[in-house]
Amino acid sequence: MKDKKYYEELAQDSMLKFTEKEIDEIVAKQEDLRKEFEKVLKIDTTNVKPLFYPYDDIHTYLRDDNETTTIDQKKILANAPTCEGDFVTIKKVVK
Amino acid sequence: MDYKKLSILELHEKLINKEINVLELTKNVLAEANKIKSSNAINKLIDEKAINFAKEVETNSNINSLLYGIPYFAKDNFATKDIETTSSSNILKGYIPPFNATSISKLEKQGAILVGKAALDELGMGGVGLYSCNGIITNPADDKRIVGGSSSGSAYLVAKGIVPFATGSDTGDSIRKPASFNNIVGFKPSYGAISRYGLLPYSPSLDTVGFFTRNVTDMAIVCDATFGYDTKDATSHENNSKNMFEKIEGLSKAVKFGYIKKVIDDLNEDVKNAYYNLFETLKLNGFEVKEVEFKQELLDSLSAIYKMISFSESVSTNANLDGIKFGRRATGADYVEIITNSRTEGFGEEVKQRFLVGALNLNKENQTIYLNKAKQVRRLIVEELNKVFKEIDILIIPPTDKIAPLIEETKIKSTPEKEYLSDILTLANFNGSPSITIPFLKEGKLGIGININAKPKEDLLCLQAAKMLEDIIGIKNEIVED
Repeated sequence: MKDKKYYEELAQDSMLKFTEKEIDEIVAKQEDLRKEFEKVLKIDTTNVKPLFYPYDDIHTYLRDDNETTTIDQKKILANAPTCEGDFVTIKKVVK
Repeated sequence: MDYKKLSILELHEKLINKEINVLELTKNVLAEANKIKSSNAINKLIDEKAINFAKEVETNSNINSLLYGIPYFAKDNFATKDIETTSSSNILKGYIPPFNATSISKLEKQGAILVGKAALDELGMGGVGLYSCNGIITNPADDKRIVGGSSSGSAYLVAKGIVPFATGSDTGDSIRKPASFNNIVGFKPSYGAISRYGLLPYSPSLDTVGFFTRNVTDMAIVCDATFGYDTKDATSHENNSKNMFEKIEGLSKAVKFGYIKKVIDDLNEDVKNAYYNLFETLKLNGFEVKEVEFKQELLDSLSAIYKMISFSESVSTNANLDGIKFGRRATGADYVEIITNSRTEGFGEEVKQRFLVGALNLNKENQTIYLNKAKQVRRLIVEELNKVFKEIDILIIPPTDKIAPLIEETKIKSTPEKEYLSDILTLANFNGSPSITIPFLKEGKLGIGININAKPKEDLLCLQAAKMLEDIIGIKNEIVED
């Protein structure tokens, strides 16, 4: 059983904050989740290759150069909470 | 004009015979949609745009298109050009995509009129209809019960007759479960048959674009308009199912039906008997109906595999929601704090908890133990399904064994040995099968559907079998009246 600190670190990894109460609830639910995951762990998968998509024939490929899409810069910037000139802005990193 | 009980095909006939016109129909739909705004099923109505497009469609009428002038709602996780798209999440409030999802462009090209965006469980996660950031959506036939989700708003709007069809997306059962709870038709086509370009992702190896209609023939019409390979989607697949509307009646008598005996026997008595009666009717109609085997340990692992794979993919695909480039930004001392605060304030509880489980699976120490294992078991599930589809052509599955549960019942666990039944529709997401739920049984105004599956990329066969079963069952074009 992992402790609260472990889940707090996980939350940090996914850039989320949980209240003390929420973390307690999550920790309490972990036992159920662990039992559920056990059902998978006990299945024999010796020499079974993992399947990443429904079909095996999915692969990455290089697209033809003639397929280009451009999005209007104004529209991109209009969606940002703040921008200046050609840039999306945020609090200064280097001060 | 009372259009609400009319199917796509009936509306089409009235439009080409000039009994009604596109503009009048569009205005009527908007008026009806406005009446049910308190249901929370609608995230946005686009009155002005819809009316302008209706006028344009009328001027350049393409009466050869069966979707010419047909109104519809898009689930709010489909990108719609110049129309706010939030996926029912506070973090995306104010986001206006500069492009259309491919499926939306295709519907537009056929002259279908988008009237608005339907609410969903936030970012497609939930399965109940209680997790939209704008408030809960309840069953249109009984407000104490769930509508089902995540495509809850779309299901509601089709079941109420506001529109004859709506788009949905299905990662585990998000189209097919609410279809069962609302007496309507819900189809998840083969993985990759309809482009996912512009569908806001939840779990890309499972997500599938699909639709709600009120009969199977209408479903063939919307599929004909939207199927097709798309270079913009690397997981898109060519599908040989074409002209499905024309061929919908052509189910061969040689088609073999099958069911997993334990699955049917685990249903409650009345529903079980209804299934066995239906199998007898199929036999009387000259079809072979066979029992097939399926390893129970794989069925029992469905819920866990779904969580391991989809939650991990969801935390990864939604990492771009940070309040920096688009959507809502919270305050903070530096960029880390801004992103963390934007995500913490922007996401609902269900989403955050799924992200945490996803992060748990993606953690270095757990990737092999959990995620890789889940993907190995996914292959075993797919291989087991391949065996099934060597014996039979159509697999019949119960989407649910009861009417939509009461809202308070959603937190109660079912008996452990029958728990797998509530996750059984995910089979078709793991192997990419076409899978359709149609109405089957009725208890008052509420319904219980039946689910029909064919092997991957056999979408036409799946729809033909559904049409034949729809004719036998005899329930279609139902709406929930006020």
